[in-house]
Amino acid sequence: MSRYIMSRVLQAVLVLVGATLVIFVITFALPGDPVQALAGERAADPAFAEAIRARYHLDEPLLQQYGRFLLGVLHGDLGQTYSGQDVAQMLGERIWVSAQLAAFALAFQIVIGVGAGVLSALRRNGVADTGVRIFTLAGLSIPFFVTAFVLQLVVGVKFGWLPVAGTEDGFLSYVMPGFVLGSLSTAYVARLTRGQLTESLREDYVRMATAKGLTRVRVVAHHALRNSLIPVVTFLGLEVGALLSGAVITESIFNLPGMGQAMARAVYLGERTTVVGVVTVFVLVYVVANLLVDLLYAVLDPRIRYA
Amino acid sequence: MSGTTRKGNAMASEHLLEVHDLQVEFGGDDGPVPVLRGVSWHVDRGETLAILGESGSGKSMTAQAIMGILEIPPARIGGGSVRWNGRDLLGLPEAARREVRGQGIGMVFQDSLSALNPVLRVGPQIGETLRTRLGLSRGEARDRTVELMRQVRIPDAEQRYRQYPHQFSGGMRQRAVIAMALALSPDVLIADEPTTALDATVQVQILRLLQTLQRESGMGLVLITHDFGAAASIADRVAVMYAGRVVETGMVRDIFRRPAHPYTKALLDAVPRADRRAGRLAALPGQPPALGKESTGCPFRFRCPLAETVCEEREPALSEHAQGRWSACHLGKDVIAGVLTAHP
Repeated sequence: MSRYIMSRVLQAVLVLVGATLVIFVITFALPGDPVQALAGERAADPAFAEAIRARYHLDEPLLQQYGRFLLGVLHGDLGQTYSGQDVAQMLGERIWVSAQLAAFALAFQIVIGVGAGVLSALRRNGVADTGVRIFTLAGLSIPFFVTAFVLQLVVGVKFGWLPVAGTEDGFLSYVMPGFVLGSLSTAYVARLTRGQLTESLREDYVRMATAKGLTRVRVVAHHALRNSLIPVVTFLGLEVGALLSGAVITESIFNLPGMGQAMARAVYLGERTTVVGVVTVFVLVYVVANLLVDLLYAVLDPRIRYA
Repeated sequence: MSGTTRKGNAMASEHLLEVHDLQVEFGGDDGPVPVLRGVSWHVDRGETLAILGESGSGKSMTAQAIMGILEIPPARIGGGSVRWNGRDLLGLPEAARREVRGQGIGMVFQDSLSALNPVLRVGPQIGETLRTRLGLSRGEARDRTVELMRQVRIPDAEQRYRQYPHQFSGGMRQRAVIAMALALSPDVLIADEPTTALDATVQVQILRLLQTLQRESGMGLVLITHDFGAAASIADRVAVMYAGRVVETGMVRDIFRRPAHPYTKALLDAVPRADRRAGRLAALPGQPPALGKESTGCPFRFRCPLAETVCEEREPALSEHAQGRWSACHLGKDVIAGVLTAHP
C-alpha cells in the first residue's frame, strides 16, 4: 500500500511540473505585450519598460524564467503581480471563497444528484423517474450561465429570497452560485446513479439479500447502493477539477472574489504571474483529489485493497 | 420450529410446501410469453425433492416465483398457488412474504460468487438476518454465525468470518451461501443448482453437506439440478420438468429403473456411466421448443422417438400410469414397459 501511495505521489509531481510548463509556454505565447498594457494607450517610456522587464525577469529566456518559477513554488512563492501584489498571498485570501463555492456545488451534486438517482432507480418508469429524467435532460441541455442569469433574475431580484451577487451575506451568498455551478453535473450524477443502481438491483447478491428476508430499505441501502456508488465517487472526485474551471465563469457572474475571478481578470489584463499561479493551485487540487479518489476506491472495494 | 403442528390436523393432506398449477409469463413485445405452464409439485418435512430439467425448462423460475423475487414486470404470475404450511403465499402482502423468506423458506443461489456481496465481509453477511430479524446483539449474532459456519464445515470459521468473498474458494463460498440460507432455520431449503459452478469433487462434498444438514434439521429440501447423478445420490423423489411443466414425477428409484416419460429416458441415457462400455455418449437430439410457441400437441413430440398422431393433437396431462408413476405422456404405460428402446 505505501509503495502504491509513493508511486502515486511521484506521478503527481510529474503532472504538476508538466502542467505548469505547458501553461508557462502558453502564456508566453499570448499576443500583446504586458508592459505596454500597463502603460495604457500611449507608448511606454523605454526606460520604464526596461526597468519593468528587468524587475520581472521578462528579458530572460523562457526556460530560465520557468526554472525561477519552480524554485519559487518550492518556497511557497508564486511571484508578484505587475502592481506589486504577492500572488501567493492574494490567492491565499481568495482560495476560501472558491473552496466554499466548490463545497456547495459538490454538496448539491451529492444530495440532489444521488438522491434523485436513487429515487429514479427505485421507481423505474414511474412518475418520479419520468420527472427526474426530464429535469436531468434540462439540466444537461441548458448552459449553466443561462441558469445563472435566470436564477439571479427570478430568485434574486424578483422574489429577493437569495442575494444576487457578492459575498456580503456570508453562507447564503454561496447557495445560488453553488447550485448553478453544480447543476450540470448534478444531472449527470443523477443519471449515473440511476443506471448503476438499476444494474445493481438485478445482481444475484441483491436478490439473495431479498431472498434471505431483509427489508427493501436494507437491501437497497446496505447491499445495492454501496456497489453502485463506486463509479459515482470516481466521477465526483474528477469533478473537483471541473468545478474549479467552472468557477472562473461562475465567480465572475456572481461577483465572488475567488480564484476563478482572479484568473479571469488576469487573463484579460495579461497578468502572467497570476494566471500561472492560479493554474498551479488548480493542478495541485486536481492531483490531490485524484489521489484521494484512488485511496477511497480501496476503502469502498475490498477487492482492490487486497489485490 | 414445528411446522406440522402449525395448523393442526384439520388438513391431513397438507404438505410443507406445495406448488399447484403455477403459471408465470413474461411480457414480450408480442404479448405475454408463458414460461411456467402449470407447474405442480410438493415437498414434505424431512424429504428431498429433486427438480430435474434442461436449462430453460423453468426450474429456477419456479424457485424465484416461490421466493417472490421475480422481477415484476416483465414477469407476471398468471395463476396457481404456492402453499407453505397451508398458507397461499402468492396472495400475501409483501411484508408477510418477507417474514416467510429466510425463516419459512430459504434459498441457495446457483452462482456463489455472484450471490455474495463482494464489498461486505462474509461473516456479517451470513449473520445479517440474525440481527435484523431476530434482534440479536452484535456479539450474539457473531457467535451464532461462527457456529453456522462450522455447521457447514468451513474451517477456521473465526478467521474466515472477517474475510471477503473473493478470498474464499468456490466450494467455501457455496458453503457460506448455504450457511446464509440456513441462518434462520427455514422449514424448507431450495437449492438452485448449488453445485453447477464447482469441481466434481467439491460437488460431491456440497451434496453430502446438504444431505447431512437436511437430516440433522428435518427440513424439506428442494434440489434444483440438471445432473441426474446429483438427484440420484440424495433425492427421495424427483420431478422432471420440460418446457415449463412437470412431465414426470415419482420416487427416484422407480424413475431410474423404468422412466415413465421418453424425455426422462433420454436424459438417463445421456448420463455417462462407469458400468457401460466406452463409446459414444447418447445425446438427445434437438432443442427444447422456443418459448411462446403456442401449440396444441405435446411439446416433446419433435424430439420423441415414439411420437404418434395423438401427440400432435393434444398435450398429455400428468396422469398415473402405474402405482405412484406419474407422467405427462400418452404412451406412458408403454414407456414404463420398456417398449421404447431407441438407445441400445
